[in-house]
Amino acid sequence: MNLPTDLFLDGGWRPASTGKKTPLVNPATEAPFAEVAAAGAADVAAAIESAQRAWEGGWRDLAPGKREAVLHAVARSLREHLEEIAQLERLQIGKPISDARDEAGLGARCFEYYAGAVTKFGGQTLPVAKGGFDFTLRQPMGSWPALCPGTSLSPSLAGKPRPPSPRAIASCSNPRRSRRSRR
Amino acid sequence: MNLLAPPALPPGVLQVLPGSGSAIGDALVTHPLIRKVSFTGSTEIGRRIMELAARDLKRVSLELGGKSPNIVFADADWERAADTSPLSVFANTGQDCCARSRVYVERPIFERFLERFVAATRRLVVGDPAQEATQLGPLVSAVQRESVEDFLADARKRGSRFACGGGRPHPRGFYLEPTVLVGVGKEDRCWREEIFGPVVALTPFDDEAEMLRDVNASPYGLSGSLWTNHLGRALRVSRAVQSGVLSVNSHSSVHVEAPFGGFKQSGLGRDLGLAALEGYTELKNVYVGE
Repeated sequence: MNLPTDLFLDGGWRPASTGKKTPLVNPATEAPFAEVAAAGAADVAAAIESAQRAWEGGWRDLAPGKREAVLHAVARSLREHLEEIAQLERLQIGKPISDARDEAGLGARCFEYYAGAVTKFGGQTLPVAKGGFDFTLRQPMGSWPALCPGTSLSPSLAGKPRPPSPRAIASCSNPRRSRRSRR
Repeated sequence: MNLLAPPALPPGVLQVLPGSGSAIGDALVTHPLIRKVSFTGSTEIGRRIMELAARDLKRVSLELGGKSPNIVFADADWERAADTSPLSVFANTGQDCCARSRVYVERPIFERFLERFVAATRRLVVGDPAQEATQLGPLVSAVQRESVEDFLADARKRGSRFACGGGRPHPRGFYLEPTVLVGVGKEDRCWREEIFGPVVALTPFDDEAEMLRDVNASPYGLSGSLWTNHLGRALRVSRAVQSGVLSVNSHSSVHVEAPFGGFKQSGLGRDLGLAALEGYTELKNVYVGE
């Protein structure tokens, strides 16, 4: 399997600013199988700046129908790569392959669900003072990180909703550091 | 593999930074441009993140630990419950926040339920995760296995009975046998703490109200199962169990369309369903005068 081992930052694969790598061990064999970039504080700052540019540069104000199309495109991509994702989960955390395939499918399903949901989620009008008009809006907050464990990455990442906020995801991909992690 | 960069996804909207919590976690949580933090992990780290986020009143969603109950009444299809319950705790080798790790069985069926539960556990295929038939792989790391074995050592010291399991089934890989304990004291670590490994404890109960008091004595409240064919009891106990998710005559906890999250120290906010969108947006009210 050809594994990307760099950070995915500002739209591209990049080595970590730290130059450090984290070895990954297959828990079924105890054998190392890859080394992935270990992000540091400078990478965090760069990711947050990139997220902010994306937010202000159009993602925040994207029409719901266009956002729906983007989320469906991500879901399709996840389904096309479902077997790779499942095998990677199996290698990295020892999840049985049949479960790993189910969970990768669940990840894609999350994107499909929120692709449909973003065109149907909004505010209300409320009866208040005579003559006036009152309404509520649901407004995006801004950038946020999804801190996820190494024991079940795909649904952990995908199960977060997809409002118009860019995200910097920190994933704990060293299983030995994720001893208290969970899906 | 280019799955993170479909042409439609603008740079910066989705980024992945593998790294340890100690190296990048604080920087992510405390950065002034970050408005919200979503964390999936242990209650201990969730508490720390909430403390850090409190400085700037950042919003938090926390999906944390659990010690979920599996309650089986004598009127239930308890044979089906016994056949299906082992995977409700042992799936992903017990590394599942929803693991039903405390099983309460009404006393008249306890011994028969236990026998059937142990038989179903022994049938589970533990081994190479690359094989299609495998149901339980290894634990995620040597450290995680040692942590689970500490719990087993405590159970031995406290005199719990091992109905099955407890050992390492393979010489290589971080495997551990699915382990069924009975006679675990209500003050013991194996009853009170999240083990995050393939260990379950079964106990008989006589009185519904007393059982519910024990179920709800846990600081956790994530998930759980309830087995009964009595409709009134199903509704009454579903309301009484302090958990964000509960399944009746099923072990299914996660539905993309439905809210998922914890009561008490199992978390804050909800993932999945429309409820999750509320947690990632601010509610603004606008009044327009005449």
